[in-house]
Amino acid sequence: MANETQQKQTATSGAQGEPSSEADGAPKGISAIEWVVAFIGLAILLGLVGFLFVGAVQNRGLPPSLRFEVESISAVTGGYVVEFAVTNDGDTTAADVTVVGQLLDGETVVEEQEMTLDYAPPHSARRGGLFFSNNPAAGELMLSASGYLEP
Amino acid sequence: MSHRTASTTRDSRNLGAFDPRLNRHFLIGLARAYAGAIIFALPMLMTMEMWSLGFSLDRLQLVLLLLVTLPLLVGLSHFVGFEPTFELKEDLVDALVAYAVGFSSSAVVLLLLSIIGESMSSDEILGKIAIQAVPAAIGALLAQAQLGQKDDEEETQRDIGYFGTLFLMAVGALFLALNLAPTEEILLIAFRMTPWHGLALALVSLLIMHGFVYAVDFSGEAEIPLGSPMWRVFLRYTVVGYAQALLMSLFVLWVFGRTDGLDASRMLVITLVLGFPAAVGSAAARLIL
Repeated sequence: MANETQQKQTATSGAQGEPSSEADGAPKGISAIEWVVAFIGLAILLGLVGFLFVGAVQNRGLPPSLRFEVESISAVTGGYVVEFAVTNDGDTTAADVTVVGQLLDGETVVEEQEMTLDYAPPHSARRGGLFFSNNPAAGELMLSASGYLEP
Repeated sequence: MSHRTASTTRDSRNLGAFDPRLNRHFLIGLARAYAGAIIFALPMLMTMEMWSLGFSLDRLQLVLLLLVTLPLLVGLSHFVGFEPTFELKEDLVDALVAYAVGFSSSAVVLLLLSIIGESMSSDEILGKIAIQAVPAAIGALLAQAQLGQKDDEEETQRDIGYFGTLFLMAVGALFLALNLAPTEEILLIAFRMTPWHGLALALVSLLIMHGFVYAVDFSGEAEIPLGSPMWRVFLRYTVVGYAQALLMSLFVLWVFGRTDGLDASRMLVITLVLGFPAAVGSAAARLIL
């Protein structure tokens, strides 16, 4: 079927050697650039699938394990802000994480502040801050997570 | 976009794959594909539930989604194109090009919007890109097929048959389902509804779908043989199409983890809820594609 149409069109465009596709209005076939792009697409697809698959196989299913790191303590309006980063060393995402910051003086808790983190994805870091009225650098600062939700 | 292979003509100037006009034609199509990918995927690219699904979704479900999309794209390339011949090579190339466009456009937009960045693990970044690449690739393919053909060839709708129509309806359902399934609102709506609401929603979905079917009929498109008794059209297209929309909805809900922990009746309601826009999507797909 396709051959017939092709030959008819070659005939109508004359015997001058014009490319037959001009009669149809659109060139036919797969261009070189198209092959390259398709190959890139295939490479990305396979790479991504492979990466995700390996990730799935290596996943030990460990529950969220949150590790805190104080990045800076600065004076701001109303008091002080403690900027921190929290990394989830586990394999599961923790959502709605309640972060508790305690300012300790020996055994007594001088000040306690809380904040909620949206998501703590596995092996990723998220940053946040806590406001204190007392100077956190003046005592012992403890950051911990008190709970989370499984998304 | 890649038209069917020309049989080698006797023309000596046939440069094959390196023909500059062929390459230029492809590049124009590629630009359209990027436009289509952005248009289709932008609502999802800016939906926060999609971002968090990127890292919290089970990796194997994500792999399944990526792999299932490939034959979907191949089928779409076959049915939405204007040639009746089935050339696997062309359709496969189109699908892979759509994937390339989908991945790259998603990555760029996510980077631009700071949804992916340095402090994130590669697992998180790639997961976010992967999940967005699916709707973007579908959009890329549709843009090539639809927007491209109109100025090159006459707008003749070829007869793709019953299964072709069903396939297009499935894609329409999938598109709307993908857009809405990740959102929290779907769950909230399902929790508020009573079984009576569910029943009413199912009936309304069927009515709307059937109404669309007749809109298509009146515009003169030869999808349904004229004079078909209404009940026959209703069963073959509307009911089957709706069942299909429900199945697509259930699949998408499962992939996005929205069915986790739900009992059967809740799962049914949430499927009906998502099935409503999916049904509208599938009916619209028939009209548009």
